[in-house]
Amino acid sequence: MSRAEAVRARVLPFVALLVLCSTAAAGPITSNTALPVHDGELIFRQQAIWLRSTGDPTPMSRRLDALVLPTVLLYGVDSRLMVMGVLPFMYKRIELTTPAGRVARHTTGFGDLTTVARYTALAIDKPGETLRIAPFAGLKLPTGAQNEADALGRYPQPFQLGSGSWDPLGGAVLTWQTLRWELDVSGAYQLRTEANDFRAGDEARGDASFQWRLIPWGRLGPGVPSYLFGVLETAVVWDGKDKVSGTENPDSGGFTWYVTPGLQWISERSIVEAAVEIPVVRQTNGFALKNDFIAVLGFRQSF
Amino acid sequence: MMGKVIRSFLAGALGLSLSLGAIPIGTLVLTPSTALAQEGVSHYEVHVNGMVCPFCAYGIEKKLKALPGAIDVKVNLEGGLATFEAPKAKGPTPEQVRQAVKNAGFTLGELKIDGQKVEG
Repeated sequence: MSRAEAVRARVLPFVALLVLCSTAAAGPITSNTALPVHDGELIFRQQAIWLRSTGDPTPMSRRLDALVLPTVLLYGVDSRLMVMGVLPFMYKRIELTTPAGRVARHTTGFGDLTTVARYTALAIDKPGETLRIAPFAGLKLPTGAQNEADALGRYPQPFQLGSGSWDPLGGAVLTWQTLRWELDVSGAYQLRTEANDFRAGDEARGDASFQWRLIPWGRLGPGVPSYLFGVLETAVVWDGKDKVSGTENPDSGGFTWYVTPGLQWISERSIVEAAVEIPVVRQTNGFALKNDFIAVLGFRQSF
Repeated sequence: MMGKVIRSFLAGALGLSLSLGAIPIGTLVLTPSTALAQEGVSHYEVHVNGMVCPFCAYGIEKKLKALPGAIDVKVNLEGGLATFEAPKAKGPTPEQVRQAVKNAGFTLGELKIDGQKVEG
């Protein structure tokens, strides 16, 4: 695999982890929550995620942009079990300098569908307070296109919209919420399997999200007022090295620590939110590109 | 003149034998609760443990509205309190209320019907 292809290898896994974390119940913006979804409830969530990676030390001076639009549908089977599906629409573009000059390659379309089930194993409810723990498990299905190409030929497997692999994932989330604030802590792991002679590295991540009610600042008053939450999230993400034809790619995988400030407006049936993930530690392997930022806009509607 | 005609019509239509001279027309519009008051309603106070965010409170409101005869459902997030009214003979049982709270993803704290604490 060339250096440029190695860079691309990082795109798909990162998009996948963003999708994995796009649960729809109220709660964090970039990670998971254990808050309840009522029996028979349907929640629609749409996000727009923009990722930019640069910092190429080689003469290729690569620059990567990815716009991901994950659509999430979530259904409460009962008060403890919820299931959801996440289908991302993606636009990925990479620019690099070649002997023939600056070139750009891009691909657009639907990516792989991810399904997740979450079960509330523990719920301690008190007046004005709840503490919940919920394990979750899921599977990413190979529904995205795997043979996209342009005038330069077929895209390398990591740059395809779909990975072609069946990738299980699992984790658990703890949520502690009061009328004033909410804390969510979660851990997740996704196993990546081989497809098309390529295997992306496994991924592990830990997330914490703290949300503080800014408006109304004091007492809530009667009824169900809308909230404006100030949000501060953090995530540590580890990606294993990819393998091509069974050989490890030294320019893939690594460790990144993100800090994410954001705002979230919550009403009885809708949520509007925005956040920017800022990498504060970027220890990627070899010449892999480093993420500059990830901007997230989101909307949720309960039915 | 027109006001008298309307008041007369409403009084007749509603079968009321009231002296309407000083009564605003608006007071004659029957709300569901006033209608039920005539046949007897129960007032439910449902204390919901764990209900702490607006997005989650919607589930409680929806589930209580689906209870038999439940009307005028109100949710107060700060107090963790939901209230509604229902006909005495056709209202939900305490068990149905408890199940509705559970289906919404929460835990029933205390249930009062007409001010009397009952077991859910």
